[in-house]
Amino acid sequence: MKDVTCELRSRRALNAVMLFAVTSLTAVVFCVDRGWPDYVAAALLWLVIYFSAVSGLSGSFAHEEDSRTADALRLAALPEAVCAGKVLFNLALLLCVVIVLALLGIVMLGIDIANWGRFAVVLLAGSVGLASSSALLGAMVSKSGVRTLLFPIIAFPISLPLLIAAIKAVESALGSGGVVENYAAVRVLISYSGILLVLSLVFFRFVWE
Amino acid sequence: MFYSMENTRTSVGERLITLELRGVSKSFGMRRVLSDVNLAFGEGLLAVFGPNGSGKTTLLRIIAGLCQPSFGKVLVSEDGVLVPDDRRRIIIGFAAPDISLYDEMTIAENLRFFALVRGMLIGESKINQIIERLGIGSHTHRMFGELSSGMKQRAKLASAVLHDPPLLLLDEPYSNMDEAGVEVVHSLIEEYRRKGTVVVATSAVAEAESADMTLELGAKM
Amino acid sequence: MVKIVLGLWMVLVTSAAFLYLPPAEGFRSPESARIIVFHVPCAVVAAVAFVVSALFAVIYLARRRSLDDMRSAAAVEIGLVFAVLAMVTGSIFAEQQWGAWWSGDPREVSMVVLILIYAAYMALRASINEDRRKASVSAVYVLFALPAMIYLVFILPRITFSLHPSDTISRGLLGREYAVALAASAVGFLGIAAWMFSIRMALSRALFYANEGMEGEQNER
Repeated sequence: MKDVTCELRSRRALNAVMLFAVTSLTAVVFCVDRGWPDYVAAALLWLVIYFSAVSGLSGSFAHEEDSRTADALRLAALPEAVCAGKVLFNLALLLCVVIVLALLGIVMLGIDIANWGRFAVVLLAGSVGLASSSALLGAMVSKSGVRTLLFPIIAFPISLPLLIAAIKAVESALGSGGVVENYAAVRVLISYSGILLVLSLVFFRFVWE
Repeated sequence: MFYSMENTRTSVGERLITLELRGVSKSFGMRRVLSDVNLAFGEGLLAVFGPNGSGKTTLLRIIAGLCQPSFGKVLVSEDGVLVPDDRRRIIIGFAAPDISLYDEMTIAENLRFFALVRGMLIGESKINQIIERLGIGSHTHRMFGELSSGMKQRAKLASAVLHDPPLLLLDEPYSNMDEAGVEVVHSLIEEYRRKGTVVVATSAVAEAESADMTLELGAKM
Repeated sequence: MVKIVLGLWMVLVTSAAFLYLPPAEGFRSPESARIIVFHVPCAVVAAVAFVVSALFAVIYLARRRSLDDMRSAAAVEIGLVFAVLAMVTGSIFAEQQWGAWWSGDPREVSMVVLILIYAAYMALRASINEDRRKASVSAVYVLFALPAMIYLVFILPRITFSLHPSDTISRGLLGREYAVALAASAVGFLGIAAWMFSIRMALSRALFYANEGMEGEQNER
């Protein structure tokens, strides 16, 4: 649907995001030794993912507005379709970043993954949540002049529960997490991301006009 | 409510569209652009004219549903039944200078995309037909962004009529057009005014002469 | 009239906090723990304001009357005031009890986040000029923030560590006088909040009519 065409077009967005992710991770790597406690690694991973998301995903709607194609979309497509397309696109973008970061993290920082399945699930769920909320919040600020400034401000409170849960959940998948306690974190993450996805789709039309 | 291919027609066919505006006003902050516009119109050609800045584009956008009036009501009815918002996209075609197609795709890709997104199955032959009709056949494989403004205008018109809309809105359709282009636009308008409703916004009075109804907007700076 | 009642009521509550209540057992600095009589109700009001705002957001999206959007925004403004108060009183208490103005306790953090949400809401509103869009976007944001807050306040503390003395209060170690004082204080603060709300709404309505005139009210669909 919409996302196919989006991906065709936005190689530039992909580059920007990847560049950011890689440079930040590399910078971090050069400064620190190996042998980190799990929770630090988990936090770092998600922080870099989050900042990459904020810088890379917010621009999608802005670009549409600027190049004047947004109205054409409004005229032709169902709001939910536009939202779904953007979310999928964000997700694809984010997953690329996540995979690269995870690989880099493992290779360069010697992060040790105890439970691959859980690790993957957590990364996926977190990405879904971030992709959805970025789509909706991006649409909210797309028309305003201060949008690049405003986006992180409004994104943070919404993303915070996601980040906290995700960090905890990833932590439990690395090395030595306490299993019982952090089943909860994973469930919380999945449920919250699910809520974000649903709310984004439902409320998109109000934000889109 | 969710996206589905429910409207698998190739065109919307003949429907009677009635357009009604009651007391429509629009202000952007302190600037009042439209003031108490009242209008009732059915089949044929409606010309909206006035000098630059008189609100023609805004009016068309309000009819299309891109913009909400500050006051008043806009009623678009199909066969006497009020059109729900989601259906508007199927019965309305809109071409305007400030609405663009996607730069990174070719004309054909753009057309296919917008047809798909509207949920309509429009065959390749129909697309080609439209492209030929509007005289952009030789440029179909170029990216939209590379085209000249005249060609872009033709392409936009193509996207506006692709799904045979019973309500066609054209904002300054003759802009950027060479002689041949003007002919094409004219024939399009003639065809659609017979099939359904066409609303044209223009600054040139001459274009408004042959209209069934005209609406003149004064300049309100 | 109401104001006088409220004023007296609060004076009563305040004096009770200092004179009537015995020092709170189980806290390190029993005398200054009295501040929870102010702290907890403020936090409660801040939370209530948020819920009220969310409620009006839903009503606005359903019925599209500007009045509901104004109510939603007013609730946010007032919620902000009380949230800040709650934070300040909370910090004072924290300093006395645990020797630090700030710790990473989830309840504290969620209050900060609430303040951030309010601030972001206002920034969002300020950045959009078009009334209808401003209202829609604000409403959606509040509704988005709702699950975020719910998760932060209720669910996340379960999976992380918490300093908040919820046990002490819920197990009734404080004694009945405190319960009474807390309840009374809560009522008082709610009263003040409601009063501030009505003033804010009066201001909003006055501005609205000044801008739109009486037609504004009639044109609300």
